[in-house]
Amino acid sequence: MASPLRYLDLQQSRSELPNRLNELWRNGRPHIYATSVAEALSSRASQGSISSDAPSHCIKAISDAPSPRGIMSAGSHALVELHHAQFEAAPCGIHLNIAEQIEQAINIRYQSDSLLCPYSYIELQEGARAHIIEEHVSLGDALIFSLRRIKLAQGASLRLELREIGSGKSHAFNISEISVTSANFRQISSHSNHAWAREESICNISNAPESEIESSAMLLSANRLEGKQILDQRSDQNQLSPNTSSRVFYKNVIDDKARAIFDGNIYVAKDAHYSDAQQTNRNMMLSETASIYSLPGLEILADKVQCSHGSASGPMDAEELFYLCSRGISRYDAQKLVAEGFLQESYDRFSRES
Amino acid sequence: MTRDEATFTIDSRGEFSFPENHKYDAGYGLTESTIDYISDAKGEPDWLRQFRKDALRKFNEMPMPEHWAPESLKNLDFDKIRYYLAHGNAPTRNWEDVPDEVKRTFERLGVPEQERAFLAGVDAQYDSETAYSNMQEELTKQGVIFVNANEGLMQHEEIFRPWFGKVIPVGDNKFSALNHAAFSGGSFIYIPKGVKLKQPLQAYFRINSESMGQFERTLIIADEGSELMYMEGCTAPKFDTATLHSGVVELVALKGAKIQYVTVQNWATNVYNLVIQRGLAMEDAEIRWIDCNIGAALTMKYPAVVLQGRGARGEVLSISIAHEGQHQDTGARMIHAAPDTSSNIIAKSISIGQGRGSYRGEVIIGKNATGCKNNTECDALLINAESRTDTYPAINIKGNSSSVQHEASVSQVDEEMLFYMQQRGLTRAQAMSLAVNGFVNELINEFPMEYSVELRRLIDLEMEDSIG
Repeated sequence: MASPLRYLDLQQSRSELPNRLNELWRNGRPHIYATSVAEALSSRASQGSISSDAPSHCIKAISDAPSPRGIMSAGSHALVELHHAQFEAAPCGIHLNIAEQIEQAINIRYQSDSLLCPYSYIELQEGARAHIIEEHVSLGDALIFSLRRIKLAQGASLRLELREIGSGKSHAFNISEISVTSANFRQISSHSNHAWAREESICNISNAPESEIESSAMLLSANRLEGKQILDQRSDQNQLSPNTSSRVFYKNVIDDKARAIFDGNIYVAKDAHYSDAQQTNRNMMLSETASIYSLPGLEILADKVQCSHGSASGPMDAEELFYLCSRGISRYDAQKLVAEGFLQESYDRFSRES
Repeated sequence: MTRDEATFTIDSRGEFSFPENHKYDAGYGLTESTIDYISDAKGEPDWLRQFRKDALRKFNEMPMPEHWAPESLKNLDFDKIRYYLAHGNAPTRNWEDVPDEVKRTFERLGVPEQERAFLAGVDAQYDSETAYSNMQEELTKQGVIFVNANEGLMQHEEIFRPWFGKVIPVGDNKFSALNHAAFSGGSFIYIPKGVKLKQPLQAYFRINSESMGQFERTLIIADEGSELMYMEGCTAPKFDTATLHSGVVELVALKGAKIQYVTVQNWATNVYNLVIQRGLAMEDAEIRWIDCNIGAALTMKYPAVVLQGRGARGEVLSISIAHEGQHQDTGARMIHAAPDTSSNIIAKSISIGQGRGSYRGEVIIGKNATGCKNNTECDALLINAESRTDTYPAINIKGNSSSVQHEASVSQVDEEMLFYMQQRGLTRAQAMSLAVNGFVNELINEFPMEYSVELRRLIDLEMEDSIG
């Protein structure tokens, strides 16, 4: 199986903290948040609460999970190393190994008012099915720096909701490495009320040899930013073998002085023919001082593919507002409704059957 | 290294090579003495000599683009490059030396007999004097200045110096500094207020100077309300022994002016073609870059428009064809710095064999630029399993009154479509060529007629070679 060399190269060549010269970080605010992550990690101890209502036979000891070290990241190798040092000192997190079809949603909750460096390791065995809701709650000026590894075996199907809830002053940083092998994966992430948040979702999609099940992965996101919030999202769709499909669909509503960064990439490995990949970033801008930096990328090394990406940003549709106002809804409420409707599309895709 | 009357044979990766005989040759490497040599040869004033030396210092200080640039840029060795070659008068190559393959391309493109020798580098310029002098007379009557870079700076200093290096400053990037230090060739054009040129201007027709330089420098100033179209390059393969071409093209469109700049580039595949093109569009002005890249080993070219005045418009239409061993790294930049400005980018790239096509774009909507619009479309077509394509757009927007959309797609030629055409009696190469022509059709129509006819033939030829 081919591996996306880009990251490995970058990881090896840049062991220092992310800065503006790091291609995978430069569009965010690395000088603000990479340093504050490093500072928090070196000056605070990891503390907080971790809970899960998963059936007890699915829960394994976190110390039995493969080390989070070496997790694929978007140029955040140095920070992963720092996380690892914390994790070594006090391993914390959730290790789930699911072998059956679980109908009821499983809740995972991380909460902290200082610093928490959890590691989630979620493995779905052949044919397993689950719906997981992972909630990160940051109080005060807390930082939750979480690493996640998700592995789906043949025929498995996972729906995952990642909700990062902040206090206005809090920070969040999440790195997920998702391996989908002849399986089906769907994720929706939302980040609300963080001073800044960075999310890296790296999805490696392939098919098991001789398997008839074709992998598909869908990464969704819906966020509303206000004040001076910064949201920095990186998504990677690495299609590593033939006949796989993936979708990225990220939407933001950006108000006040908030700033969003979307940096996505579709990578189709050599020989990964019949890949089908799409990537969409849509942004609704609500104020004169809101800003967006959108970088939808494609790296295609195979010729029999269908790949496309799109990025569109613009103001709220005046006609939609007018329509609602003409029905007696106040302008404030109308704006809220239109923005909600805009974000709702991500949730609709998440809950859609096919 | 010998300076004068040097005779070299340069290997051009199996393309073809000529024994050369240059009147001026500044030797390998770029130092202060190389610059003195260039300045002496051109008889330049002291300020220009000093200007070049300052640029050289900047060039030496600045780093190579590193973390994003194509790998093959690393192969560039600045000490193994000659920075100034001038032919003197007599052509020194023989038509017999031109390989059959090239002759065949000329044949197929329908290049007129007299032009072939010029294009193959056999003749310093083909016999266009009559046509040229008629045109020159007409232009002078209208007050148009159309000269080479050196003449421009020396004879029309008051017009060109204020804008020289203003759109693309010396320190913009390493290659801009390099060009400022070593520039020669290129055109300086001034179009007076309200003059609308009916005929396109071509570098091609300008005599008494090197028509194409390694470090070409072009500055076009279109005064208020004027219009012009400028064409550079040609579809036929162009041979040169120099392996690095680093040009700078600056356009200035004052209030209400319109500039269209057409480039067709088909360098031999041993050439690094690193060109910086940027235009400044003032109030209600319009700048269009129409760009076609076929040749060169590595092309890095991202035409830009800075929309500086209210209501300005910018457009980039780009076609690139990356063949075996080529990397076409092209793109576009639109910088919206004023309200109510609009821009459009359409880029189509074709990768054949092990060719690699990349699109790198940037759209910036600044703080006070309200009511701006941008539309970007880039499509890539992959012909063989070995080819590769990348798209890296960057969209940076402030504020809630502008709308920006970007769309890109990657696809291959539909097998069913090919089958259908083959079944009607076309060969596979013909079918492929039709499909590819269909892919770029809407852009090819934007080129001047002769160019679009030649481009179509060229695509036929490429398909025949890679499929047929």
